[in-house]
Amino acid sequence: MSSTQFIELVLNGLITGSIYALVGSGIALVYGTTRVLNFAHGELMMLAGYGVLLFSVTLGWPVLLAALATILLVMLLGAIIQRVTIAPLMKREDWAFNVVAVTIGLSIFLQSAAQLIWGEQFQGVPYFFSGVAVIGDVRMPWQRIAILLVALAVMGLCALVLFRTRLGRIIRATAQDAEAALAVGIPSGLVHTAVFSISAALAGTGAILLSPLVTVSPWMGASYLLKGFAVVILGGLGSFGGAVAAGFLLGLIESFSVSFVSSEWSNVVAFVFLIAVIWVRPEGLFAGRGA
Amino acid sequence: MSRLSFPALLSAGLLGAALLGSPAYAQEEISIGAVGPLTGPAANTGKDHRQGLDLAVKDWNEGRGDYVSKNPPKIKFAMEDTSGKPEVAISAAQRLITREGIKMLIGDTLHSHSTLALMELAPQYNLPILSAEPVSSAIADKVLSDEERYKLYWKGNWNSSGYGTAVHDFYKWAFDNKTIDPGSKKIAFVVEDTDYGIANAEKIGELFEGDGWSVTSTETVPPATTDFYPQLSKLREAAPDVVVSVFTVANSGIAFVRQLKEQALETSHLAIYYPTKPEFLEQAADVAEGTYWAALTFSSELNPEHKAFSDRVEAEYGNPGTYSTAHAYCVMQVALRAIDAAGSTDPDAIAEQLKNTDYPCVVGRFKFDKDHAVQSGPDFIPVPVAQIQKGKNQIIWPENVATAKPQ
Repeated sequence: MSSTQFIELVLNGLITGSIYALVGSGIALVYGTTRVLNFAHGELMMLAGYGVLLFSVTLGWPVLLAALATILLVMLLGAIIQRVTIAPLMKREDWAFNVVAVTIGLSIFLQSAAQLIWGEQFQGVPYFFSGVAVIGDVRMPWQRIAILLVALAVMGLCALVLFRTRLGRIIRATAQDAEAALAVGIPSGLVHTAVFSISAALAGTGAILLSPLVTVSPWMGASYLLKGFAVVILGGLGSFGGAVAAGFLLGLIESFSVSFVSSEWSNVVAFVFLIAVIWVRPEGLFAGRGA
Repeated sequence: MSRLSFPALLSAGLLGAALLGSPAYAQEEISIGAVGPLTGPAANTGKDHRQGLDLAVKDWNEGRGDYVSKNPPKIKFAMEDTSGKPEVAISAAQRLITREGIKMLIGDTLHSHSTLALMELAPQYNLPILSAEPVSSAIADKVLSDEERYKLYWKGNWNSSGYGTAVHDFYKWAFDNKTIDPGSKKIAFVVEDTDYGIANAEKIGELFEGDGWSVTSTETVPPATTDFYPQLSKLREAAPDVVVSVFTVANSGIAFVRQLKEQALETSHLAIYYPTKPEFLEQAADVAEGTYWAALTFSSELNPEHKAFSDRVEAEYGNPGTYSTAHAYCVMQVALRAIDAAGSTDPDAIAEQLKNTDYPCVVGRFKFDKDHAVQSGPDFIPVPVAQIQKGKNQIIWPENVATAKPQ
């Protein structure tokens, strides 16, 4: 392996991993705080994809404005989904399974609704950052570099909120014991809604960054959901920091596996690693080290 | 009991004679079912299939069909979704068989891997099955392995060897006339992990290896993959002279061509199938310039007959016709004519008529070979190689049908 290929594989792994980390950290945040596994998380990505398509391409808004509007939109949708479908169920004794069933149903509903509204076509979003960075023999489009940088910035901001602000303390307190939090005056129901909104914002950020690369379709979030769950398990269920670290780790494993074996084995290698981790360390690689 | 008058008896006699002389299906509509991807990443192709199949049935029922008999049957048509998964395809087909009582199945409309599962239903339910777009040679090989078992299954498209031969012969021609430099004779493949993708890579690789080429790598990726950077980094190290990519989902093709350009690989690239999708050129015209691809079987820009068909589809459904719409239309015409010619819904009689099919349709002439697959080539369904030049598709090979010279 040449040094050029090595550098490219590291960069590709980090870029792919940053998307896995964005998706996985959103799932982990919701699970860590509410114990809800949201199977409709990928569809929040999809809705964000259509949001950025609407604002940036159809309405022609500047990229930054379109991105902000999209994130606000999916945060609102995340909150509505939580208040309308999940919060009422969580008041019941047997909510755990019901919530899983509801989020799976919601996922199918949102995919089908998107297909009915926007059609089956793959709709393109132009690159936000044009050109290719060339350093020696290494070539990397600015759009992909931006994915890594923006994802790092957004996850850093999220970590700052979680670990350095009053809102973060409230979220972590609710995560530890929602009833005790309520007893000391923390409105845990509202905290749950806020967490869903933040999780949606993370998914939305991933979708905005990915849209120019993957094109927008009703199914754009489905494949990332599986990887998102893998990252959550690998990082330790409910651990925000663990999910971020596991996302990058999974991206690097996938990237390097392609260089040693045929691409058809890349997922096999990644999931064998996941199974091995569960076997050796069932609580995940980074459990107990974050929110 | 009153006595019947002579005119009444005559009428009854004539009616009885007419009924006795009519084919067995004259009393009722014949149900035909289809299964294909109406959701999931291949749904846009499935939608095109549904429109093509539906249009053929509509033409048939409204007196515009290409009939064989003077008393063609009325047809009832239903299509079920497979999501692109073989197990879903099987249950969808079983639903059509048991609930709708279909007398023939068009399936799968797109996927070879689903067809390999569906063809087992032909002997199980004594049902004629005709697949639409699948090309994997594994399907025809299965037919040849047990012709009696698969006597009711027919394949409405050519075999992978059709693509293989076209790609190989095009490159041989291009090397001979110095259009493309064969370099160190290395070929690589990036294909979707389906029977379709793999069969094409194997067939093309085999033919190139016969000419002294080496296959440096065959990278198979899950359908709808959009990140090819790890594969492209690997290909850059291997430095192939020709790269062949095979995807059935347009967004994979768009992403691959864009990333190939970004990585500036110095190689000749030939794409299979995905440039038939209109969104490919709409979204990748800026980076696809010069790309070779197969097969430009349907082009409303270059062929007036295809343009007329596309306009008909647009008038009926509000979107232009594509290769998939046209191919599905032809497959349904073949099915309807076989049922009409059989004069009944007897599965063996329908299969016999499918075997005898020799029908010129909008995408070419449909005639089945001994392996139950439609034949390809200049006399049947052509497999021309195209190149994207100035943002438009041009046929560059074979020379006798070329609309432009390769650039």
